[in-house]
Amino acid sequence: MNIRLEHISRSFGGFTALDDVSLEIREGELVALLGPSGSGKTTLLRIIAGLDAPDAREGARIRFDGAEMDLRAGARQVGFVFQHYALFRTMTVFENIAFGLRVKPKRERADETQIRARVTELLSLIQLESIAGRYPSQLSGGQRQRVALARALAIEPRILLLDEPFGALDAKVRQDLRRWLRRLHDKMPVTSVLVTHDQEEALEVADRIVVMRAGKVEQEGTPEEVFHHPKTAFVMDFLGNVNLFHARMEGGHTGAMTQVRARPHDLEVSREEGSGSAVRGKVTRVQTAGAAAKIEVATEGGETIMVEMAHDRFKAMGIAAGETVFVRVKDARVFVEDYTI
Amino acid sequence: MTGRDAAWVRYLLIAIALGFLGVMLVAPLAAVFIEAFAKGAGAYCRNVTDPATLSALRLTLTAAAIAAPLNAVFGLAAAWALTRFDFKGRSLLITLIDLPFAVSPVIAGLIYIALLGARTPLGGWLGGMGIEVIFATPGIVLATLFVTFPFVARELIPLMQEQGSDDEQAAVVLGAGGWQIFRMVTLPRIRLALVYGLILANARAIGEFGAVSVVSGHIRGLTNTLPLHVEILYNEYNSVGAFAVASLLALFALATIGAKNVLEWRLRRAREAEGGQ
Repeated sequence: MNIRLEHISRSFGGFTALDDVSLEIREGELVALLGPSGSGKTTLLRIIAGLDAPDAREGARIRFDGAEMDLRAGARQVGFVFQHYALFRTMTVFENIAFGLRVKPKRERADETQIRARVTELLSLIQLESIAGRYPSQLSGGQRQRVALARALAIEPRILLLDEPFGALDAKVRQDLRRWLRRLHDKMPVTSVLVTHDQEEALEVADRIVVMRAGKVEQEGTPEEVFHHPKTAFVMDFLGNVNLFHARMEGGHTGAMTQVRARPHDLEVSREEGSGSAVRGKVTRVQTAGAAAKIEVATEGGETIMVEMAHDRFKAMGIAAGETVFVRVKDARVFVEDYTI
Repeated sequence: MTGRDAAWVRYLLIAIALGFLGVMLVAPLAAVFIEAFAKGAGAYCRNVTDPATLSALRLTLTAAAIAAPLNAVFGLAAAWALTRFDFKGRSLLITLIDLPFAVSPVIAGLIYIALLGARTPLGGWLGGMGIEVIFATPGIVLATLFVTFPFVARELIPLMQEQGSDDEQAAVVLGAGGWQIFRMVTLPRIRLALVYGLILANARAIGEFGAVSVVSGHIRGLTNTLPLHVEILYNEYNSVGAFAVASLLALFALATIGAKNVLEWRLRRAREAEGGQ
């Protein structure tokens, strides 16, 4: 289903959670709302679900497939996965998943055989057939999360909303689950919106990322677009590690100081000064555990630069702590309108 | 602190606690039963089955039986409103719920006399329709309600606050209606605390003296509850009779404590089972 949000604002007392947000979520897409806490992403999700309503303003509209949506939450046919799962603790896994089917009005309700078949099908989808009779307290975090997802899918939602679905899990389980979620979405492309503050999660899972900041959409685009072509300094900082250089502009604005941002992997370390501008510094720390080798260089100006390079190149160079090196910028970005944190 | 150092401290504390319990609770309880049986089992049975005693027992149980469901309804409504909604006057309502604990029960009784006594407009109007409130059963029920109504709400509010409303919101999104949510999601989670609150309210309802004393009028065989009946018998120098009736109240108390312990044990087990959530 296609969802259009038009001019959505929401304030709580004096705090503006959403400030005139307009957004489109296309059929079958998995969109990540990415931003720091307080950026309004969860509020936006709750408004789509009908658990919260936007401020009554001129032009504020929520459209499901073009038609204005003003139904109450229970009638929207929305699947919602809560941050802390919100499983019904007095019910078994089976009854949790069956809940949405059992509470339907009598006319629409499936009979017991159909409900059992549907729940069994969902249990096999989440690979938890063997624990249908257990209570939520007897499950691990990852299992609870999958049960919460199955419960949301049971009502055949037109849209699936996930609020920080992996937030409370440990790193390994988290990674497995998000790959699983991605595969599930490829198999069953329900239009989905996922709220997260974890940029890695958003980059890995989503078809499209909406970066939010202070109640506004900062940038939206594919993971490649927002990562490689950030429109603002905020987006660049939020999506990964950034080195900040204070540089003097040459050419037009001679003499003006400006900030240059470069990702650690867009820097190059060498022993020779070479041609062009390079920053001289001393290697203070070398960290080789991880996907890339990380080198910390302290400049003469007292700043610390983080450089990442492939392991084979690192080995070939044989850099060690204490050495003097030159750091050269391969790719960097300057944003005209800067922000303050 | 080493284990050995702790030992004598531990025994001292246990001895103090047990000694206090023995002097303040066990001995008086035993005294009640010893006095009640002072003239033998036959006299005890006669005292307990005396028509005035049975009438007092009936009235006490009636008042408690009416107060309990009303307490459950009020407690649930108040706890739901206070933990699920944020509204103006919320903190005032929380304070008001505690009012019956703060005021003396005698004042509670006097309030109803001032409000519903025969010479007041409201009481006169009700009297004109043939409904007597003060010095009759309705007054006793009202006084009992007043002193017991905080119990259920006070058990439920902290629990529901802690549980939060995520589960109910999940049920809303899944399409459940208000009554379905209450019956299938909310009630099973608070069931034990609700019963616990009712047990406490019930104990208070059976034992209430002050508020009921003011509105009762002490008409023997008609508006006397068990505690009032004990006082009357005692004032008539019938101490064996008074203790026999008092022993009934003591038995109610023991049953309450027993039920409370069973429930506390089950509550603890339920909490442990929910541990991870």
